[in-house]
Amino acid sequence: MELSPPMSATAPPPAGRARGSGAQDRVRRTPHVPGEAGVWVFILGDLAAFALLFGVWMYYRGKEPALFADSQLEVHRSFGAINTLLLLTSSLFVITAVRAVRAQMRRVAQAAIGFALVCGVGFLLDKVLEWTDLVANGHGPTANNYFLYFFVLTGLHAFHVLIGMGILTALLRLSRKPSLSKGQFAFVEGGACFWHMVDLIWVILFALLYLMH
Amino acid sequence: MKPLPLNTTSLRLCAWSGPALVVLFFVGLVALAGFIPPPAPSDSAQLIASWYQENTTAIRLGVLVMVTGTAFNATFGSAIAVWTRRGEAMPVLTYTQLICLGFVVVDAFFTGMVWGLAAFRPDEVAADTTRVLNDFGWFLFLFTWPPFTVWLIAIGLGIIFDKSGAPAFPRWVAYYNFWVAFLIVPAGLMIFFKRGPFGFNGLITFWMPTAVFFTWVCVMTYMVLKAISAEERRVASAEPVGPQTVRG
Repeated sequence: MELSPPMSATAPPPAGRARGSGAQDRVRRTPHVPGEAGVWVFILGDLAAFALLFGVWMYYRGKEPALFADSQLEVHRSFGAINTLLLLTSSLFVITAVRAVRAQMRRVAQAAIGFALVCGVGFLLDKVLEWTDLVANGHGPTANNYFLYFFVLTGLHAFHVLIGMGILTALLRLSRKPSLSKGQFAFVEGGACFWHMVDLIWVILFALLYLMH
Repeated sequence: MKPLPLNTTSLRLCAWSGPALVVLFFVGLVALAGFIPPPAPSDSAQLIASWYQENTTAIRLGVLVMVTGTAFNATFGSAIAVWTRRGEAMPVLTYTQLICLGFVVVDAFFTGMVWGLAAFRPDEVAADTTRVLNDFGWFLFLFTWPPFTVWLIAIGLGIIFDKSGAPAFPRWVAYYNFWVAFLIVPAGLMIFFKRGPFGFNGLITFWMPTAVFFTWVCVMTYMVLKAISAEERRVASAEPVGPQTVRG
C-alpha cells in the first residue's frame, strides 16, 4: 500500500528506499519502475485486451484470407504510415518531456508535451480523413469483414488516443509546476507510459491491418 | 459530538452481498434459465420463440432467482462507496457512485424482468414479439455500459484522490477499476452487429465484459473485507482501552 505524502522535492528522488546511509545509496542502484506499480495493472491489462482483439483479427483473417488480402490493397498505406510516423514522433517528444520534467526544465517539458499533443491531433485528423475517404469509396465498415474489423480496431484505438491526449493535457498542467511531489512525478511517468502503450498498439495494428499480407 | 463507534457488521454484510449477487446471477441465469451462452442475435424469431416455449418454467424460475440478487448491487456498491466517502471532503465521487448504482440496480432488475416477460406467455404472442423482448433484455444487459463505466471510474478516482491519510485500498485497485471500466466499453458495439465477436453473444462484446465484471465483484469484495479489517485495527489502536499505560 503506497502512502505518498506530498513533499516538495526539487528533483524527484529515484523510486526505492529513501532511508539508508548516503554512501550506500550512491553505490546501490535501486530498480526503478516508471510510474507507480498500480498503473501497470492498467497498461498490461489494456494490452491484454488488445491482444485478444488481435487474436480475433487473426482468426477472421484466417477464415477469409483472399478477401482480407484483396481488401488490404484498397487502404492507402500512406495514411497508416503518416500515423505511425506521427505517433512515434509524439512518443519521442513524450520521452523528452519526462526527462525535462525530471531535470526541471519546465519550458522544454511544456514545449515537448505541446508537440506531442499536436502529433496526436494530427493522428486523429489523418484518421478522420482516411475513414471518410474509405467510406466515400464504398469501403465502409459494412462493406466486408476486413473493413468491419479495420474500423472497429482503429476506432477502439482512436478512443485510446483521445484518452491519451487527455492524459497528456494533464501532464502539460503538471509540467508547469516548479517542482513535483513524488506522487505527481509518478503520474507523469505513468501517463507517459500510457501514451507509449497507445503508440505500441498502433505499431502492431499498422503491421496487422496495413502490411501483413 | 463524539463520532459514533465503528460497527462493521453492516459493512461486512454489505460486502458479502457482492458474492451473493454473483451466485444468484449464475444459479438463476446460467444454471436454471440457460441464458449463457447467449442465443445468437442472428437467430430467427421462430428459433428464439421456440426456445422460450420449450424452457418456459426453467427461464421463469431462473429469472426470479436472478432478480432477487439485483438489489444486492445497492448494498455491495454502498460497501465500496463508504470508503470513497471517507476520503473526500466534498463527496462528489461518492454521489456519482451512488447515482450510477441506482441505475445499475434498475438495469439489472429490468434485464431479468424483461426476459421473464418474454417467458410469460410465449405461446400466445407472435414469435417476433418474443424475439424483440429477448433483444430488449440483451440491450439492458450490455448496451447500458456507461453508468457501469462511470461507476468504476468514480471508484478508481476516489482511491487516487483519497485524502483521508489512511486510504482504504492500495493504489493498484484504482488502476484495476479503470481497466475493468475500459473493458466494459466494447459492450456498446452490440448495437451494430448480429454475428461475430461484436454481437451480443460475441467474445469482445459479451464474454470479455461479463467475465471481467463478475471477477471484479469478487476482487472488490475481498479488498473491501480487507479494508474493513484494517479499519477495525486502526480504530482499536487509536482508542486507549482500559487503564492508560505509560509509553516508554
